[in-house]
Amino acid sequence: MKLLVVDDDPMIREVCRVMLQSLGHSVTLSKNGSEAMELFTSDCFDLVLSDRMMPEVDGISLLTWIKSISDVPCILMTADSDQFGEANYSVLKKPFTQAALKVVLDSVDSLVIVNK
Amino acid sequence: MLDTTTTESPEELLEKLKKALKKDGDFPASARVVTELRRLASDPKTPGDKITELILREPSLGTRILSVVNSAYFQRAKPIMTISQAVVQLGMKALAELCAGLILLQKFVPHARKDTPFASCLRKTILTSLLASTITPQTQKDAKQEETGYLAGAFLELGVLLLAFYFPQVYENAFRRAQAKQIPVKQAIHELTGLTVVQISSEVIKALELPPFYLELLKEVENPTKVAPGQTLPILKDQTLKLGKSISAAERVTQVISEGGSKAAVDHMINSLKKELNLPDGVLESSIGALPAMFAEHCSTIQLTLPPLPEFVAQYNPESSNNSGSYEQEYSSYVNEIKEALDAGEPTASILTSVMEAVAFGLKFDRVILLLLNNTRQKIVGRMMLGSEANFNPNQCEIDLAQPKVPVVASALRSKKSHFEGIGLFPDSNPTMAIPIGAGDRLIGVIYGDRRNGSPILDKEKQVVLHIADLIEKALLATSQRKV
Repeated sequence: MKLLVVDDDPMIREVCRVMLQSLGHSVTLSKNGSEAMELFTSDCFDLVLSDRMMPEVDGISLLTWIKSISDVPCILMTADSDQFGEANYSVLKKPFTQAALKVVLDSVDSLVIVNK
Repeated sequence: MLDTTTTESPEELLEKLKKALKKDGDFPASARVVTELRRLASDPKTPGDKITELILREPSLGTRILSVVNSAYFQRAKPIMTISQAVVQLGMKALAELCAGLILLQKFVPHARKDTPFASCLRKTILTSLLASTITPQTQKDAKQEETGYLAGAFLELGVLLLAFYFPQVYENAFRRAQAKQIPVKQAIHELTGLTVVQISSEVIKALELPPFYLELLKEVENPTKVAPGQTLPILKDQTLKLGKSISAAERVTQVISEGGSKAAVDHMINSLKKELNLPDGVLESSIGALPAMFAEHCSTIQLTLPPLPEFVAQYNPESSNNSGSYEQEYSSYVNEIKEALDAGEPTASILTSVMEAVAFGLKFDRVILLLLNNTRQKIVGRMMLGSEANFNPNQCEIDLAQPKVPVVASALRSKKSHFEGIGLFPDSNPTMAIPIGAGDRLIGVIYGDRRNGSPILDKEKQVVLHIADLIEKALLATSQRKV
């Protein structure tokens, strides 16, 4: 899958890149919500993973915007996963292992196949 | 210097402080120079030479002014040789503000030469002034507000500084109380004296007959004006509101830095202040990052040696984060080493050593110890250590798992998951963490790590640890597959 990962922390971006690439995915990194919006409109992605707490455009605003213009599945990465039970996107509790990341990706991967 | 107990009422304490100020001829005299300078500077008809004359009348002030205006802080291309040149180049108002700051701080220098609570109080005053001088031009969107910010920051702290100067016993009691209860010093002062920092500073401003504008400003700090959405304030009120917010923000940040707070605590403070001050991303960080250099320059100007700032403060400087040795880059290079070792099929021992290096040098843990289960799997024994601990030999470290005295290690072994809390191996271990070493159900030991300074393990660091744990598992799986 071609994934867009959005996080303002370079260390987390790096961890996500390594984890996702070792799972066989192609990864584009973005450091904030505004940049991610630009990337999303100029390229095609199968899935977007975004941090929740970011300056200016936060993760929830970004994913809400993506959901309003596309069917691309989204995953919100957050330390407070309990708040988002009814959300329109999958939630990945931070910090996560590669196994946990794979489980969430597998669950949305089936959605990607259905959509295609 | 006078002394007093804390048995008197807040009113009695303030009265004593005012009497001490009155009795001390030197301080009010200097303050009168400040007031006179500001009065002259605010009148556009005042000729520049009148300001020069007044500055030169105060002993040693002229020399110090030249030293400051030629320092790196002002970034002048050409040196300023005379006070008259300084008046022309900086402007009368800016120079008057600068003199005021110097005069007020100069008074306290001889008493701050030793590492005492007073020195720590003076350090905080200087830091608040410097930080306020960099934040204020950003919130006011006016570069000329630098000096106003500096002076406003100094006046906010002036009350506590004078309390510490005239009544050292009261301040030292508050200082010790703050340390014992792990509360801010200003809260301890309030608990002991019944007075807030702003109340004390306001009384001092009145007693010294400093411009009433600063009283308004301190009122704003204590009780910020509530502005309804869409409400427009008069320009002056709006400026006072923004200046009040800036100096309050500067004080809150320097309180965390001065009173032993961690980088995580400063990060947390920055995040909440960004919203309050409506500042663009990076402005607060770069202001804080500039503090160590400004502070060193300032201390050298007033010929004072104060303890340096914690090392992490310089990390906020964007220039330092671009250096090759930045935290993220350092971490990345270590993790890449682990990956390369893994891809090259290096022995498990070599991969574990790389992991320990990543934890010790990349994630800045003070002690990192490899602990392996013994043959009976009843005990876990030390094998190797990175970091130093006097009189500790990792090879003699043995933990009985039936009666674990190191819960963080036992938890990681029991759950086969990385753990980030629990008592560690040493009395000063805080925080602690343990990464299980194993693949599937087969565990061979843990990598234990701790810090001594209480600096918490950030969420992003936990994320890195979990990633490293994944890499260890992969390495062991690959080894077992090779054996098969």
